[in-house]
Amino acid sequence: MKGRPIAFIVTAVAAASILAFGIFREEIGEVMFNAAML
Amino acid sequence: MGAVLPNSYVQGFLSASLYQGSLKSVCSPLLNCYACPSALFSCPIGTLQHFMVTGNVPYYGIGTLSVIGATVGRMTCGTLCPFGFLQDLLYKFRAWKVSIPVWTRYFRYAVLVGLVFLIPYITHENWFSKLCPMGTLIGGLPWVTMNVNVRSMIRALFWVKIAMLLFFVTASTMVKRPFCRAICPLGAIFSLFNKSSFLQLAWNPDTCTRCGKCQKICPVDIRPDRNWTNPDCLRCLDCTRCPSLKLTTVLHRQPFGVSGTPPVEAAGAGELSGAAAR
Repeated sequence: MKGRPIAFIVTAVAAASILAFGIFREEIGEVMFNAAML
Repeated sequence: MGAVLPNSYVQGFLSASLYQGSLKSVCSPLLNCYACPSALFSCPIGTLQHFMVTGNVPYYGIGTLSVIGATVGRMTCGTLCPFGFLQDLLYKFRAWKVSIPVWTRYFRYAVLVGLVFLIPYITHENWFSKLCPMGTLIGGLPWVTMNVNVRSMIRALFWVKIAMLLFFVTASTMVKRPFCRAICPLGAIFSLFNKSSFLQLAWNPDTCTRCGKCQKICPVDIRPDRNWTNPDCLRCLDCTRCPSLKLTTVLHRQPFGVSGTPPVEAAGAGELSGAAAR
């Protein structure tokens, strides 16, 4: 269990960064448009 | 709750239309078809495929699923997924019960890479969505029932989808969650986070008698006492009915038990150390 907190922090920061980049690229609008206009 | 909450736009069934509000910008952490008339949220796998079809990297979709996976691992599969819940119900039917080999888990990674990323990128078609049994159940069948125009568009692919749905419905009566274990690409994504997620399953070697009851009640037929970060583990917490297993977080360095012995070392001493447990 020793490395788990570090692995979690690295994973969480990477995940949040990818999500933030997706939001920055305004992908939310495309997701909504794709899902609503099937 | 996982079946009702993401599909609570009842008006969609009454007016034979799709919800087009802002909630559709949110990827639900469940295998829930966004073509379902009552769907409020986006299907995460459909979203990933849409970006691959258009030749873009789905940062928002991958980021959303990664944040959820980093927080709870595969817990949404075990506690919220409506298709998983359906498979659990079907397994309660009296039928011939069989177990599937562990290596079938690798199919779901092949499905993720092949049908969700590579083939949609190459062919510009959402191939997983075209074949998804959950999509057929809550998206395809309601639309075919409600709308004459959709019914007139039925081609051979629709019957392939129906055959796949029937196959998994039948298989679910005999095998514990066959779709989740061998096919589900969403489960494949979340399972990558089971080892490093914030929520963790903890096992106490001091009280475990190795009776194997945890495997009997496990919906994916694994032994959490042998590997509590197993990528197949759905974190449904059914096994936490046993006092030797409980939910904890990564912040607890020695979350459970006195010795904190790793499972490999404890395996030999299990019968002895667990004798006084129950």
